[in-house]
Amino acid sequence: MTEISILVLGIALLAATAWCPARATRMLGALLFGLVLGVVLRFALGVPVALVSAVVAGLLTFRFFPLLVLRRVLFLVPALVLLIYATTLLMYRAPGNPFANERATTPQVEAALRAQYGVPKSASAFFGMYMRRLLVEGTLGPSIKVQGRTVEELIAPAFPVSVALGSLSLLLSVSLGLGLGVVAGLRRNTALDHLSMLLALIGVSLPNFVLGSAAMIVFALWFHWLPVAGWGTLRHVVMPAVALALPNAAIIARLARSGMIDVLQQDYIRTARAKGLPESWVVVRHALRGTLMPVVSFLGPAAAATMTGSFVVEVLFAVPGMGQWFVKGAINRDYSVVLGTAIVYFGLVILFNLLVDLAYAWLDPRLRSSGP
Amino acid sequence: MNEELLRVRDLSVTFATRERSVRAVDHVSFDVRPGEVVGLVGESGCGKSVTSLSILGLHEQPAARVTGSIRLGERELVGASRAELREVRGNRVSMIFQDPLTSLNPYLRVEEQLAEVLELHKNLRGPAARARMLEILSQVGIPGEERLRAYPHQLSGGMRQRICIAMALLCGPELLIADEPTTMLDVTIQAQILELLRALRLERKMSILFITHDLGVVSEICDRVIVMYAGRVVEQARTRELLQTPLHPYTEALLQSTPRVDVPRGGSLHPIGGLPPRLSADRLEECAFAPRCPRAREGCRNGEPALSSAGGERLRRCIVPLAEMTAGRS
Amino acid sequence: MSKSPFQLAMQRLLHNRMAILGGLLLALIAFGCVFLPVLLKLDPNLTQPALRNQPPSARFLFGTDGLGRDLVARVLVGGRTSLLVGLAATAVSVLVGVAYGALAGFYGGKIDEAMMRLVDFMYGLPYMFLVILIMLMFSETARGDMLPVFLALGLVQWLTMARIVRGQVLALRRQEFVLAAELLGVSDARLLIRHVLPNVFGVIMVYATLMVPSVIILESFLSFLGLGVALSWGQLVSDGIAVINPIRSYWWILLWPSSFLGITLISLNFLGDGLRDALDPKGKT
Repeated sequence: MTEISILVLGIALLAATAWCPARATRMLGALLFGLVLGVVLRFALGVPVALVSAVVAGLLTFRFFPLLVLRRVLFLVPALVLLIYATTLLMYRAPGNPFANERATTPQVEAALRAQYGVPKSASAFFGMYMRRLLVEGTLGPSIKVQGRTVEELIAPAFPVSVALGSLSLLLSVSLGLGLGVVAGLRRNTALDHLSMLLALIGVSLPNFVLGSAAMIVFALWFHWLPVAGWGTLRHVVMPAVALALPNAAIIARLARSGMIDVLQQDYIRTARAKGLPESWVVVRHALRGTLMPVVSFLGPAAAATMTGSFVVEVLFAVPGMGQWFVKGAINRDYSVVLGTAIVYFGLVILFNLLVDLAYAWLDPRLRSSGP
Repeated sequence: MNEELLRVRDLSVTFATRERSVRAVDHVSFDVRPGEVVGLVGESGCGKSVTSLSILGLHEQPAARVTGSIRLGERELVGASRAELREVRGNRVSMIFQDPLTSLNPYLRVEEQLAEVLELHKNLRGPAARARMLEILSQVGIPGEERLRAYPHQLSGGMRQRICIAMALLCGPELLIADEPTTMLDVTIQAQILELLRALRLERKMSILFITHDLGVVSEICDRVIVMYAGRVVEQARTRELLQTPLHPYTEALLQSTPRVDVPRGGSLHPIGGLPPRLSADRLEECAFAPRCPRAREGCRNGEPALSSAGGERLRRCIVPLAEMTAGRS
Repeated sequence: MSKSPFQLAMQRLLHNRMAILGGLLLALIAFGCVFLPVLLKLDPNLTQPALRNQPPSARFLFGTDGLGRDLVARVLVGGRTSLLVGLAATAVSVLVGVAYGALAGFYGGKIDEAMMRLVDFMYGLPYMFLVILIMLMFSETARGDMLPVFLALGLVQWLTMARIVRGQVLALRRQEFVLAAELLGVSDARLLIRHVLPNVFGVIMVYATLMVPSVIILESFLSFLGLGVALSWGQLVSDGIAVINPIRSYWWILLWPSSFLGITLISLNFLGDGLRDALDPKGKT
């Protein structure tokens, strides 16, 4: 049970970062940011480049990043570590282990296999070894089930696929959702408004694989306009990206609509009209900024939802993304693969959340502070 | 010059809600002359703000029905097209509001908000626009360039209101409508803003329609006062006359209910009893103030009194004999 | 005669045709799934290989699947699972979320700040990882054990509830009637339970109703991926998709579960939206 207590302690420590004084936050935040950047770049660009970039980035963020963002970094990086720990614990608690399916599982054979692959019996030991290996050697470790390959080798080809699918679908969500929502908000209580919101309601109600399979049947099997499944050309991207985008687009549409309605009731809109501004200026120059705020706040969970949905969509449309590695790894108890994909996913989501924070601060000048 | 700048005749504004119609403004008429400061006074809900918003047509369209006439010079504003109204707004007639913080766009810098007025109405951009902005800002008592780059939340309340005033003055309007501009400010800042408005009105020969519930403010800045109650005009007079000799029981009661510094302590306050009436679209069968009026009598319930002359330009809507009103003065 | 806020809300709700429609459809589907299989003695697992892949007919209203199983039975019984999971997991979310959010909102200050940062962080996480791992933990040991499913899914949704309840409690905490009770010496616990929470009840109902569809969708994701514990609509849709091919389409195997799933979800959303509009027409929540 001590592992659980470590977890709880970690959570408490995380919560405690709220009380960290400003200067310390700035220093530690920049430090962690540089560190993470270094570790990540090491994979792609090698040690020396990574080291230099890490230092430079650390100094730059120390000087220029808003305090709010650095506070988030201070929270998020240890949180990522804690997540890795929690995932490790969960895996170890699951029945079975990577070696249970091997032919001869006498204790000696298992012990030998464990030593060979570096998979100790305790979760904490594994965690320690894993983090050390990641920071010092810069590798996600060998896959336990796929002989002779490291995790990064396995997921490297799948990574750009998932990122491409995810980003494209997020982009689609935002454009579709904003477009529909803003128009609905401007033309409140008209037929257009009701119709848009009905569409949004349906989009939010149906699971993406239902919409996806319907699209598959209609566009691929009946009309032959798009390929049924697979990956490789632009036409392959369309249906998976749209299926993934629709639920988020629906939510964004509703947020944009209510945001627009709220903003239009603000006093400064009245002032803008009292100045004689044409309605187009009022909407674009004044109302839009305020409308964007709830949408931007939603982008963090939207990214998470996209990631969640991507598993199902990748399976449905046979897209060779990271999702399949995660599921396979989980079923086969390939700890390294599971952790590797989990880290990449968590990391992406966290990065995205940070970007959203920055965007938020940029959009609303009241949130910016030059920091002590 | 007796030619009016703004001529309001029989202005009525009705709001239709799901349950019933509410007539917020009921056949209101008044004038504003060039260079004059006219005060529009009354309790909350008496229709003074609604009246002022009607001039520039700032009501939300589907909800409000406006009838009557509002003439600015030769131009009729009621029923004017959106394009015509836009040309007047911010240009010939400007408006400032009660809460300077929420009246300014929090996401934009001051200079951006000022610049768009100049760009729109005077086709002024770049350095020429900047020069004009700085000129106006110094006129309202904010010297220096740094303020231009600031965001509204970085400025104090008084400064924000000055910015709003500056924004309203950029195009040299003939009429400034000020809807309770000092209500949300501290007393000292209030005095500064009033002083500023007085100075500006003299320099520019600009008229001001000053909406407030505060008779103290009225005495400071208004030449003439119009008192409203339940959507109707109940009295109209020059400021000094009104404050010294109110000719309508409501005005009298308002004056009495204002706590005074020069009266010995220990006296009691004199609030006006009862609540303001619910406004409806139906014609009233009695004087709107009768239920709360300390001078109410038989005839008050027989129908709404008409607006009658009380000598000179004074008007009142009451059947209490003039002699009785003036006799009650100590 | 003025009506109580509750009566006014009910009145508004009953005027909302979409919400009423949603409620009726929901009731119908729930009734069907719970009672019809028993009443009509339907068996979702009875395989009749000779009758496989039959289109809808008088005998098999929804047709049969690849193993000759009656799809009416499968869809209705599968519905039980999906609906039950939805309700139970939402119940878990509500319990955890309300407790967390109420405490954070009630005590405010640094405690609230710390608690909410945790929530903010978790909000942006892809939960499926942890849920899938949790599912795996129990998939072999206890097939058909639903409790961990409820727990896992419930834990995904509690964040939203926590945030909302915290916001409401925070606002209510400062209201005069709460302060008055406090001055009278009412204990913290009683303050929270008897005075603050009853006023949050309406909002909780609204969001609980809106959460059920999300959970049902999540459960259907899991079934779709093959990680479900019992027969549910998600699995049926997955079955339906598996047999899609250009040559011969067994459209009915996909259509019925998808439609039931879709209609249930849309009805829940209509009802939830209706409740929200009824309780708070100006959209302040």
